[in-house]
Amino acid sequence: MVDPTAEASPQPLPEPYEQCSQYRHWKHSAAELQHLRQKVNLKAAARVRKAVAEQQELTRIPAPEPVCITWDEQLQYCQYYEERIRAYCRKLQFDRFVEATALAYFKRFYLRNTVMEYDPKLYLMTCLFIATKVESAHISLATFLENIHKSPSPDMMIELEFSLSKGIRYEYMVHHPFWPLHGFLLDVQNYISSTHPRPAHEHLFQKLQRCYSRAEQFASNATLTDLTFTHMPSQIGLGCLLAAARERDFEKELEQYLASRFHAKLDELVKLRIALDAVADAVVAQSTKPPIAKEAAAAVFKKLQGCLNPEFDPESPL
Amino acid sequence: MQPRSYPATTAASRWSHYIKEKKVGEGTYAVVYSGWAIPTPAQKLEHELATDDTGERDEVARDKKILTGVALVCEPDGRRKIAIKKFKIGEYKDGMDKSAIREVKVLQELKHPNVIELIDVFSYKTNLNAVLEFLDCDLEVIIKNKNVAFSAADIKSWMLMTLRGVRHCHANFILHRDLKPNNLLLSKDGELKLGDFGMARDYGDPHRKMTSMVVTRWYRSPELLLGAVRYGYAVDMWAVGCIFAELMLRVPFMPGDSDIGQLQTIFRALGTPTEADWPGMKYLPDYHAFEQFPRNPLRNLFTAASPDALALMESMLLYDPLKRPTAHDALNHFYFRNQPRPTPPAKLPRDVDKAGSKAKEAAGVDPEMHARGKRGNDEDGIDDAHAVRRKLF
Ligand SMILES: Nc1ncnc2c1ncn2[C@@H]1O[C@H](COP(=O)(O)OP(=O)(O)OP(=O)(O)O)[C@@H](O)[C@H]1O
Ligand SMILES: [Mg+2]
Repeated sequence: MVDPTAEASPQPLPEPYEQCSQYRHWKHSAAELQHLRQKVNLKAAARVRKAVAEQQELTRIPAPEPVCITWDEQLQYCQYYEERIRAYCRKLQFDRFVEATALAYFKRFYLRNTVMEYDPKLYLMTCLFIATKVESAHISLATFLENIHKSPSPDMMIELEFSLSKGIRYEYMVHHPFWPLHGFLLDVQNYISSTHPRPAHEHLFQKLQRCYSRAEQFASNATLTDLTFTHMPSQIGLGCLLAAARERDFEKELEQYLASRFHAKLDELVKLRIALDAVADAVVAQSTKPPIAKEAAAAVFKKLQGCLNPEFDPESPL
Repeated sequence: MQPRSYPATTAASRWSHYIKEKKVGEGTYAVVYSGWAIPTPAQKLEHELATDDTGERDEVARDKKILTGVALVCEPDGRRKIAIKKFKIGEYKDGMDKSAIREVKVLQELKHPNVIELIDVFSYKTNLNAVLEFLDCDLEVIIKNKNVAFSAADIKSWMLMTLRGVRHCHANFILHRDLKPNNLLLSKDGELKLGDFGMARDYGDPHRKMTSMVVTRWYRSPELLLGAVRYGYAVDMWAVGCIFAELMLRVPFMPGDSDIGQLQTIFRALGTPTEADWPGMKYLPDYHAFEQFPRNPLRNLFTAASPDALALMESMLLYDPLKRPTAHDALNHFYFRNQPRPTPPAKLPRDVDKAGSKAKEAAGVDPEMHARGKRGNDEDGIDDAHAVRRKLF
C-alpha cells in the first residue's frame, strides 16, 4: 500500500533488507571474502614480525624469525572452535538462535581479525555470552563461567566483551535462515491447498513436513558455512528447502511452486535459481564434511605458538 | 582526565573522530554530552578505497543509500553536531549492560527520518558510547510551554511523524515499549524522531515470553497492567493514543498515581471494560473483579476535537489489543486525509523563551519519573537488580 500522506520524495526509499547492517556491512562475494582474509592475514603477519623484532631489541633474548600462519590455516582453526560453540550450546541448552548468533559473531570477528592476536578459545565464549544477552536468553556471568572449561576471570570477560563488540562493529542484530524457512513452509502449504485437489493434500503435506525437518537441519548447517556472508537469509532458507526436496522426493512439487511464485519476473527467477543451487550445494557439502580433526587443529596451535603477537601478551615487556 | 576526542569505529564511516564538549543531560541509564563529528577528508577516503578488492566500496555505497531522505545538517566546514550518550555501567557483575546492548542493537538497524539516527558507537575503557544526532528538544517540553498554542494542524503533524516512526519500527519487528512525549525528540527543523530505545526489543518469536513491566505507567496499556506476557505492537499503539490525547489536553490524559491505581484511572476515564469489549481479558494473569465505572463519551472531555480525530484516538484506546489499529492502519485513517493539512515541520511551534524547559526544571525532578514505575526483565518476568535500579527514589 502506498502511504497517501507521503510527500513525493526525489529518490525511492531503500528496501527493508537494504537497511539492515547484515546486508550493508557483512555481505561479501566469495572472491571478496578471500581477498579480505588474505589482506587481514598479511597485515597482521607484518605486525607480528615488527613486534617480535622490537621485543628482541628490548630483552636482548634472541628469537627466531616468526613463521606466521596463513589465512586458510586460520579458517580451519576457527572451524574447529565453531564446533566447540555448538557443543557448549548443547551443554547449556541454548536454543538455535543463540547458537547461530554466537557463530555469526565468531565468523564476523575472525573475518577482520586474526588468531595470532586474538585467542579464539577466549572469543568463542565471549560470542556465546553476548549472544545470550542479545537473544533474550541471558544467564548470569557467574553461572555461565561455571559451565565453561578454563574460563577467564569475570573482569577479563568484560574486557573481552568490549573487544568483541568492537570487532563486530557493535552490530548485534543477526538474521538467520530459520524464520524465512518457516515462512516458505507456510507458503508452500498454501500453494498446495490452492492448486491440488483436496484428497491429495494429506499426502503432500506429509511429504512437505518431512522435507521441512530435513531443511531445518540444513539451515542449522548453513550457519557453519560462508553462506552467512554470501547469501541473504531468505535465499539460504529457500535453498535449504530445495536441497531437502531433492533428498526427500519433493523436488517436482517445489519446482512447480517456484515457477508459479516467481513466473512474473523471469530474470529474477534465473538469478534466484543460481543463488538457490549454490546454497543447496553448499549445505549438502557441509553436512557430509567431516569435522576438523583434533590433530589438524593441534598442528595449527603449535605453529601459532611461534607467531603470537607479543603486543597482545600482558606478560610481554612491550 | 578523560580524552575529549575519540576515533570513529566504522572504517567506511564518513567520520574520522568525535569531539566531546559538555554534558547536556542525564537519564537513569546514561549521561549525554554534546559534541562534534569531524569528517574524514574525502581524498583520504578515496585513497583508501582506490585499491580495495574486499568490497568496501560497496559498503560505502550501501551506507549512503539508506540515508536517503534523512536530512544531514552540517556546519560549513563539514562538522556535524552530535550527542554522545555514555551508558552507565549497569550490573557490572554481568558484564556489558544488557539494555545498552539492546538500544545499540536496535538503532543500528532502524534508519528512518522519524527515528533518531545512530551515527556510530565506540567504547572507551569499559564504557559504551553511542554517537547520536543532536536533538535538543522533545515533545514534553513543548507541551509544558504554556506560552504556545497548538492548532489542530500542528497536532496532526506530530501524530503523523510519530506514527511513521512507529510503523517503521513495527515493520522491522521491533517494539519500542516506552513511547511518551519525553521520548519523542525534536530536531532544529521541527522533525519529530523516536528516541530512547532502551526498552525496545524484537518480537519475532511469539512463543518467547516478555515482561509486562515496560512502558512508563501513564502510557502503559491495560493488557500490560493485567500482566500479559505475550503482547505485540498494540502496546505501542495504546501509548500513541495517550500521547494524542495529551497533545489535545496539554496535560497527561490518564495519570495514575501507582501501578495498581493506573487501571482504575483508565477505567474511570474510559469506563470499565465488559466481556464484549475485550474477550479474553479474564484469562490474563492479574485479572480480578473491578469496580464498575460507566462509559463517558470522550466528546465531553475533548470538546475541541474534530470527529475524525476523536475516532482515531478512540480506536487506539480500545481495550482489546486485537481491535486497535496498526500504525499502518492509523496512517491510512481519514483523519490524515481530511482538512486541515498537517503543519510542515519547519512551521511547528517551538519552545519559545525556553518556557517549557523551565517549567520542567521548576518541577524539580523530572515529573515523569514518578510515573515511571519499575522495569522488568524479559527472560523470566522477575525483576532483576537492574529493574530495581530503574525504580528510582
Ligand atoms: N540525541 C540527543 N540530543 C540532545 N540531547 C539528548 C539526546 N539524547 C538525550 N539527550 C538528553 O539527555 C537526557 C537523557 O537521555 P536518555 O533519555 O536517552 O537517557 P536514559 O538514561 O535512557 O533516560 P531515561 O531515564 O529517561 O530512560 C535527555 O533527557 C535529554 O535531555
Ligand atoms: Mg528518556
